[in-house]
Amino acid sequence: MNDMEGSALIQLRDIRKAYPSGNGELEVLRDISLSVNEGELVAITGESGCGKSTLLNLIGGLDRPSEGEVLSCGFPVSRLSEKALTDYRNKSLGFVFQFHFLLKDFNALENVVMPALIGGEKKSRALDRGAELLDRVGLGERKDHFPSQLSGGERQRVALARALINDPRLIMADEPTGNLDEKNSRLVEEILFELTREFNKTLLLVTHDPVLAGKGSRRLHLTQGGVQEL
Amino acid sequence: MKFRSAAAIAFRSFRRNRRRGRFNSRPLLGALAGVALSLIPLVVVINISEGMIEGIVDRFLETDSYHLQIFSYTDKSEGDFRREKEAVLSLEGVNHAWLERQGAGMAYSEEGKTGVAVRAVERTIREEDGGFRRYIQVKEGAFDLSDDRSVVLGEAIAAKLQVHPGDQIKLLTGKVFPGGRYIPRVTPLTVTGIVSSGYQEMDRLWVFITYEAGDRILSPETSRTVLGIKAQDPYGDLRDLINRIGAVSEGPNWRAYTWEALNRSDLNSYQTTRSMLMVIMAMLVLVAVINVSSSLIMLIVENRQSIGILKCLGTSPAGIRRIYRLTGLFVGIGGALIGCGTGVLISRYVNGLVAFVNGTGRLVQRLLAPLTGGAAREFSLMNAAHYLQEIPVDIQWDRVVAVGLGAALLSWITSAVPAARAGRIRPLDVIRKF
Ligand SMILES: Nc1ncnc2c1ncn2[C@@H]1O[C@H](COP(=O)(O)OP(=O)(O)OP(=O)(O)O)[C@@H](O)[C@H]1O
Ligand SMILES: [Mg+2]
Repeated sequence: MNDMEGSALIQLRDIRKAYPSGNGELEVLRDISLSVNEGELVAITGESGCGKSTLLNLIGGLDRPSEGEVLSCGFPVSRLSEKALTDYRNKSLGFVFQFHFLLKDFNALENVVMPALIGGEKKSRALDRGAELLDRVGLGERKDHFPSQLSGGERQRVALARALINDPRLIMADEPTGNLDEKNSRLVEEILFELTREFNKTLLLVTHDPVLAGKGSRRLHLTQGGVQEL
Repeated sequence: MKFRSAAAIAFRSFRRNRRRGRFNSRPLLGALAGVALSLIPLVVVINISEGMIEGIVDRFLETDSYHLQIFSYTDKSEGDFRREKEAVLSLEGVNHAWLERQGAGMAYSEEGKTGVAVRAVERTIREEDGGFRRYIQVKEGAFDLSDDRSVVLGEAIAAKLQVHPGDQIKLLTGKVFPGGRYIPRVTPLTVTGIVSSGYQEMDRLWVFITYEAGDRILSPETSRTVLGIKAQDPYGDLRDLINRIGAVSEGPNWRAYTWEALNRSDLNSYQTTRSMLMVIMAMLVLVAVINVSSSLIMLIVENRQSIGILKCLGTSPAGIRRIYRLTGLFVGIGGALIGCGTGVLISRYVNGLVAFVNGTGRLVQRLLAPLTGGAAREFSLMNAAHYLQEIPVDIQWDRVVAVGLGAALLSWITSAVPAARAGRIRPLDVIRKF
């Protein structure tokens, strides 16, 4: 096991997460300790409801653990202020969800460059890089199209380009192909792995698809008992 | 988040979405229209009330109250008044001084009769006094009081009596003897002119005769003589002039009053009416501005998902708040520009608009006449008797701009509440929904 290594990009220490439920509480994660190194492509599998998304949300600073500590990209995520968290999410993270979560009032290119603009980058520079990334995901011709004019697979590719625009160290993908048909799933997966490898990103990928899970460099299985390396 | 990005995101809410073929937020445009509409009456009132009050006051000063009036508390002869007049005329800052005898009477012709205010004035008042000439317009004949048997009538009186220059009328005045015995006196007079002061209330009352005729037919008990002064600057400080008049007056019991003192209750009531109008209209604007804030809440509910996404992508709560405060500000600015612009345009052409509405109304009235059997009264948007015949417009740019800025600023301030709500939206709640 390498969870004590100092160069780890992500470190989870004795994480417990419980939600209040009725008059008691629902414990979703217990005693989770985990370490992920820079450049690893980690696939996470597990039954529905076992807490995979919850885990990603804790690492992404969208939620806080009930106990334990989350360190990621050099930040003590579980202890950061709301303001510092937004900065962490902007600079160090790229999210891709099952649902594309593109902004409906903005076209493909504008959606891609949004994190860069939020981060205060110059618009012209951001647009140049955004156009390049759209080319890389095969949507160079669709820059001015709005989300409503794109197919499900195309939207996920735009979301992927958006996740990469700020050159984050960590990409988190929560069932990115969960809503896609076979053909589109393969296309999005291919691009996801190709780009994360090429840009040397660390990837946390939640998936139900064993084939896809096998494509990573490391595989984790989440159960009620904890995490297992496969 | 930088201002420019926040502004760009805020502004997107106003853009027409090509695919959806509608504006991104109708409530927002509704709120904008509300601000604009509420500003229009306020701006119009601002632009015409000043001119209206000024116009009314100026007319009063020049035709009715003079700038200063000198009364005597004891019986004074015409000679005393003439000497006082000469003394006052020698003062610097005095343009004219006119003797006037004011009384009441009843004018009648074969066609009708009406109660009148008799103004016995010096023959040359209209010739020499530019202010009087400006506002007393001759409608028929001439303002000719060269003969003691001449009379000049207000337009509404002439209409009522159905007389024209050259016709005769009779003026009934009276004398009260000790013990209360009243002796009527009838004086035949020849109409030489018909005039209008532009203020119908006055045109219904005034008949002008010569000072000498007035002296003869108006009894001291029911009339009074005043010395009306026209100063160089009626709107300046008249107290100094009053002091100097006191110094040159011969004997005691002369008292001078300024037009402000004489018209105080009228002036106050104009100002109060205007203030009340403004308060009511400012409240309309306030309601419209609060509506901006509630439409923002609708927009935020509609945009919950986008807000969650923006937060996921690294927008801080402050950044989200900034976006929605800017959105509110844009609504305010847009509403202010449209509202103030339209208000100024309407003010600018208000006379034409009133004429148009009156004309249309009368046309409709005439077309409907066979059905209604003819209306009792001619259609009129405003009761002309209480207003000037022409509304004086004076565009008060500074106030219009202040009101517009105020509305925009208020929109920005009241946006704080919905913006704070948007800032508190948790990204997780949005993301878990899918
Ligand atoms: N805010 C919440 N309040 C209460 N319970 C919650 C909340 N969020 C998640 N849960 C519960 O926590 C458990 C884990 O949820 P999570 O979404 O992490 O599962 P998952 O492994 O991602 O499942 P799936 O594969 O279906 O996406 C579920 O039982 C869920 O109902
Ligand atoms: Mg999940």
